[in-house]
Amino acid sequence: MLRVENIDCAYGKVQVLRGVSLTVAAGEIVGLLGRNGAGKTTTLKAIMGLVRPHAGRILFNDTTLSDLPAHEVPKQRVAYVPQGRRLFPSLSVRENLQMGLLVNDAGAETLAWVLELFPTLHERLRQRAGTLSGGEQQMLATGRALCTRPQLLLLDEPSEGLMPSLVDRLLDTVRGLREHQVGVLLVEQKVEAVLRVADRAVFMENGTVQHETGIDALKNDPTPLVRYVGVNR
Amino acid sequence: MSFGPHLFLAVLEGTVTAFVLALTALGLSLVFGVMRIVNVAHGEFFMLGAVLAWYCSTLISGSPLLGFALALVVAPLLVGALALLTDWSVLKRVDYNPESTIVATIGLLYIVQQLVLTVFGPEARPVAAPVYFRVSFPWFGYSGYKLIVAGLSASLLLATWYALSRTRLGLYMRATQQDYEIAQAFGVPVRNVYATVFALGAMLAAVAGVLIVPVQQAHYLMGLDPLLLSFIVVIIGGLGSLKGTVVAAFVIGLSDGIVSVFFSPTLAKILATLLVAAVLVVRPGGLFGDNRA
Repeated sequence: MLRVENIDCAYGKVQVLRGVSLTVAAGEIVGLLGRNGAGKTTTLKAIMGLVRPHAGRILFNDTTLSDLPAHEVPKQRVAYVPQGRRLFPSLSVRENLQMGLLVNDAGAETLAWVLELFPTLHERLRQRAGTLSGGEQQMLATGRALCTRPQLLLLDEPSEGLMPSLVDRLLDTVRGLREHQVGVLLVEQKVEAVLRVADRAVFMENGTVQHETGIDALKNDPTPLVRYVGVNR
Repeated sequence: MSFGPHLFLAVLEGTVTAFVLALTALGLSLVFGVMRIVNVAHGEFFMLGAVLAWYCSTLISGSPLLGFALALVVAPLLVGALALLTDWSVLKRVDYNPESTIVATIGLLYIVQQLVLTVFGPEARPVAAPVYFRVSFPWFGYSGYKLIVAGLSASLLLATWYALSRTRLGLYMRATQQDYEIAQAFGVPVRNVYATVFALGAMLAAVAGVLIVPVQQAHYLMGLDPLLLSFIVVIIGGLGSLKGTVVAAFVIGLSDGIVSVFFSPTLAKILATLLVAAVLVVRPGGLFGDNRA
């Protein structure tokens, strides 16, 4: 479904991605792991068209995403939950969800589905998004993305700053998307979270993909975790 | 005239000023808020509105009302088109960089001024009010047209508020203002939003110019005062806040009206500037702006 082929990205003269390739299939959850500055967030931004690769290409189904302007990418049913939530803080919760719904002209049905996934948002529809608690903001950021009815969901550090019970809720939601054949590319610092939901893990270092492995293999042999993330389990 | 009626007259004058100022400043505020650029040529859009109103009134010389109606349609359309052209030919090219935009719009200011000076001439030209009647109060009669100006401005402010808070374009404008990168990730064509905002801002200023010209006369340098006052209003009110813009326009307009009537216009400007300083000390983001450090 998603095929990133050999992309190079740079911020000004600083090259941050070198020949990155990865794939995500429909209904598959892929964890993208690596230390700070490895290029995980930039990879997601490149898929969204927010950073332009100067070499390589990004394919989604039959479309070349890397040829589209950034605002056309979500219309191909690719949705983004950015790091740090990045809600529209002065807009109400309803308006934030509306921003998602408008992308692919989704209607009341989609809104009802999202509010069912995150019932707390229901009571806060009229509240300004900036006044929500951290957990509620993450739910709203995820809900806003789901409102676009995505086939591919890009999640950047969704568990950051959340208490464990909320992380569980969120991971359940992500796992539930598999039934809808939604592919997920999950960037996470918390290795535990990736091990629990992902089918496959991709490790990045210094802007390149260094290693790929199935999750079961990773559970048996955690050396890549030590090597690329610095975690001892 | 005794003090009471005198004050009433001053408040009336101030209210009319405030409405027109709110309209002019709102355009600047939208551009400033959504696009994060300073449009130094904003006052020239106001001036162009007034000058175009004069041309419309000479085109239809028999009926001031028809000329006025024509100007209300033609002036914003032409000025909006000029703004779109500016956006496409200049602002886009400098990538909406704040510093370059200031320099570029200063250039635009001089180009527009000199063109108008060449074509329209250096004279101040009056335009007849579209309607002439006096509203008589017990102490004095007051120009009915000025009240119409206030009414029209108020309806335009309301229309802008409606568009901002209830339409898809308004939602996209507010989203772009808050996070243009993420707005793109939600399908907002921010470049088109920028162009639209710039044109809308210019059109609001042009309408204000059309409304004011029967009171003030059209002149090629008339854009400076509204530009400075608009800046004051936008800074006091807070970036991109419609409520703040209207409130600040009233504070400035009313105090300007009252102080000018009782003392002198210069003192009014001095007080307005002091007010800006005071507001900036207490609330750096403006009265209704974003005051998080």
